[in-house]
Amino acid sequence: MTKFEQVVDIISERNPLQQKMVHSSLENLTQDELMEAERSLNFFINELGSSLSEVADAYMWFVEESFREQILFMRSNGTKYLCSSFAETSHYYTDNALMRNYVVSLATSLYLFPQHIGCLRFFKDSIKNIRGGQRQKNNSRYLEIGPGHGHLLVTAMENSDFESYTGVDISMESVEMTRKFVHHCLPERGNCNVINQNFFDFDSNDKYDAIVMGEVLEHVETPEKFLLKISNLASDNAFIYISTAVNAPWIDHIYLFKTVEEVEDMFNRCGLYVKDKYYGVANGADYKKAVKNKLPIVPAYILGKA
Amino acid sequence: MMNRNEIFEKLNEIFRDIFDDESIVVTDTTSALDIEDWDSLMQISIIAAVENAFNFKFDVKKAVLLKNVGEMADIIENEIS
Repeated sequence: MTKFEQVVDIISERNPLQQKMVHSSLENLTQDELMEAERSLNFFINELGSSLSEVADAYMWFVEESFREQILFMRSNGTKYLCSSFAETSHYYTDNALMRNYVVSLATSLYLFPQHIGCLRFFKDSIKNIRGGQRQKNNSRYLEIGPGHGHLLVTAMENSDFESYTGVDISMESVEMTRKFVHHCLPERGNCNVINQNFFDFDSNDKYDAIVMGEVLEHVETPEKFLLKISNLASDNAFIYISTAVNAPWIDHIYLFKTVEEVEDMFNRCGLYVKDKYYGVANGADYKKAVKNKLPIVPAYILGKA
Repeated sequence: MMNRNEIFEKLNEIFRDIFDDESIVVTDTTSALDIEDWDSLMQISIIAAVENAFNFKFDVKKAVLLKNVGEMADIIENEIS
């Protein structure tokens, strides 16, 4: 039995509501994904000193907080998140203990939440199939906003060959974790730099051939400004991947997208258009049911510059 | 005031309606493992329906930790007494 399977068993014992979903997710992972999940867990154990029980604790903290937020969101008839300003949530990003728990739980959910594994597959397939020569030219640059636990960044580095990879994250704990995770997975690669900075303050004269931002937009008070900045930083044929969260209450989600159409309209207003998309629904529920009942949806997009 | 049997009668109505299954009979020990479609999202729907039917709001911290219908009935009994 792998360590990841052991964590799944611990979660199942603790919460019957999770049991069916996590076992179903485990059964649906490919052998490669199971090895990635195991690598992730080995990183937590060897580099962060976590135990299997602590990883399960982090995951359970995430699902229980999420459940609590969903009850309160439901009581508001899906009209508001608990927080709506960055001033209310910014303290989370400097709370290193909380951030560590947060990123460990998110990294674990990456292989257990159907919507997260779906987005990861969509991202991996998309970045593998970049066409148009972005990868071949000299000085090709990849930029990721909010790498968090570093799993998308590592996936990108393993499946593309940009000359440089840059990550920008507002949380120092996330920066450290991403740096360590990249080193853990790809110790021979020296072309990755992770910076601790608010993306609003990120200043660059360079254009980027890939810009990636996984589930960050909902943490921002003015997501349009973020998207405009991304549009300005992207080269004309850049690979742009953005995912976000719709009707997904969480402790530091402040911008409520009520529909995927709202997200897509915002892209259009910011000089971006949708080339390809994937809608991941919480617990693997049916999309129509999710829309009708305001269940969390994670839409992921490959975008072009209009 | 409702007794425990009456609470369970109402809970049966709620569960049958939410899961669209007239054969459901819940007991103290019924949990998510006994009803195929009962996951964390359905649990939110159950909580919303129970709050409406019994006219009270769950303490969210307790609602998160509910393990079976019996624990839910305990809370309802307390709240409406």
